[in-house]
Amino acid sequence: MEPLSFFDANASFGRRSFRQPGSFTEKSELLRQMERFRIRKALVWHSLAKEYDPAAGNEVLLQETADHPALIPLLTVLTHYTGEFPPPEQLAAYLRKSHIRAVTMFPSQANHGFGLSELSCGALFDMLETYRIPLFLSLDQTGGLEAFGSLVLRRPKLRLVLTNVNFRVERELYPILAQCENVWVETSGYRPFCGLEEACRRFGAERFVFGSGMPTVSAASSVSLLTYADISQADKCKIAFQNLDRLFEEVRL
Amino acid sequence: MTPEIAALLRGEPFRDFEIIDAHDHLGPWQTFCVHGGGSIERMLKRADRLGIDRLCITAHAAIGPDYVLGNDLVLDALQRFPDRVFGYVTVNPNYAEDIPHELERCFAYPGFRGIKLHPDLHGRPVDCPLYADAFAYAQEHRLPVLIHTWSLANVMDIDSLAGRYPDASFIIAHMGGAPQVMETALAILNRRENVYGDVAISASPMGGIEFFVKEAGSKKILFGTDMPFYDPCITLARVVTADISREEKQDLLANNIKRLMAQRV
Repeated sequence: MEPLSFFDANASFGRRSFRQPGSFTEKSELLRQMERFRIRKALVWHSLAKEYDPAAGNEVLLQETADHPALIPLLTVLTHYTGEFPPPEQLAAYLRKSHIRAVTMFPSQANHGFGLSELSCGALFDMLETYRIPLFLSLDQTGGLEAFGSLVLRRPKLRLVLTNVNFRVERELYPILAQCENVWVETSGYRPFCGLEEACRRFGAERFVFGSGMPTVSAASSVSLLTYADISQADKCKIAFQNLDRLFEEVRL
Repeated sequence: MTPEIAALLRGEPFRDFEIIDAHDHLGPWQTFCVHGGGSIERMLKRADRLGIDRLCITAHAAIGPDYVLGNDLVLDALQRFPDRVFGYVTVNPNYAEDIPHELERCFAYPGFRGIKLHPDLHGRPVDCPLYADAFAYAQEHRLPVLIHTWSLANVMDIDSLAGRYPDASFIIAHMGGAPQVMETALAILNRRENVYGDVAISASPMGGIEFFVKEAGSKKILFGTDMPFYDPCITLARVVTADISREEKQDLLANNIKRLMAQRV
């Protein structure tokens, strides 16, 4: 049986404010780790976009990924009201022109500080829904799963990929997965004991996308969550790359 | 591709190593779902899937409200699976009057090999005088004491205890928790012969194993997974595929905890 290969939904590079001992910052090391663990391509954002300025970070990201087809840019977006970012339709045109098929945002008060309310993000969400562009949101940016659940319920057409979850989430996450079809979970933080196999049994492997969490999370750990899950090989392939491929194919930009 | 990464990618058990998981739990828990109720049967099934030979367990009931109940649950697992399970006797300093009797009761069974303390959940500092009987017992019998840590104060307390109880061995669980605390924990491992650290860290940090071994050497680091709090695969995978030698991996995976447990008198 051929070993799995992966499409990574959660990777980044660039210098961060706090450097965890043993982790890395360089793109070259990300590419080396991808090679080690058969990660054929990775959706990546740049640390400057989160920890400094989205526009500056995105610009570096696009430059750094231009000659690396294995690195797929994940654009960090802001709302447009302050003039720091273009209005939604102009943003859509930019995404189309730049061949970008997915976006992320860091709305928490600790980062970009604009929240997830309709008042703040409604116009942006409308655009993402129209073009079926998946929005990748880290759990620590959502205000918690209760707030995330509210967003999911009021925006059933918004395609949301929840990243960086943890092993304590299931009592709050299961109701969301059970009642909302527009949510996918990235696996690098999904570490409950036997958690992936239990969740796949209840909700189907279609709801999960593989992520490494590099450079802060061990890629070996993230790979192990999938390769040692007691699920079928077909389900492993869905999570390893097919589900994310399909999310990208369904974008209507 | 290394044989370990090949096995990882195929989801095959890591049979080329002896593997003793030095930090496990048992049973359900209050704050989140533990699949299969965290039963010993489900844990051993998961261990088999990964190639883990033995588990060293303490019960959630013991690190929570009732350590006598918890120790009984561990004893039941020891008696049913004597070739697969070692036990830690857990004590709670809020019921200190029971501690001497509980230690004598449990250590009458050979499967119990160490003492487990969870000062945070029991609301006491590591160096609380109410733990004195437990530390004295560990000193007298040369036992390992596995102590939950998640703060600088926790690990500094262990530094102090290690000097006062030189014949006991102290294991800094989670290597202190936060990355900034880990650097202090590693310094203590270097300073104190009888202090060790385990790698049960739910965040599964990239490069963490290599960093620990570089800073403190392979003889002071123990493999532990915290199963069934979270899945053991994440910790085993990062040890087995770490950029350290095969001999160093084997130290972490079994040699060190075997050496600590063999010191018992």
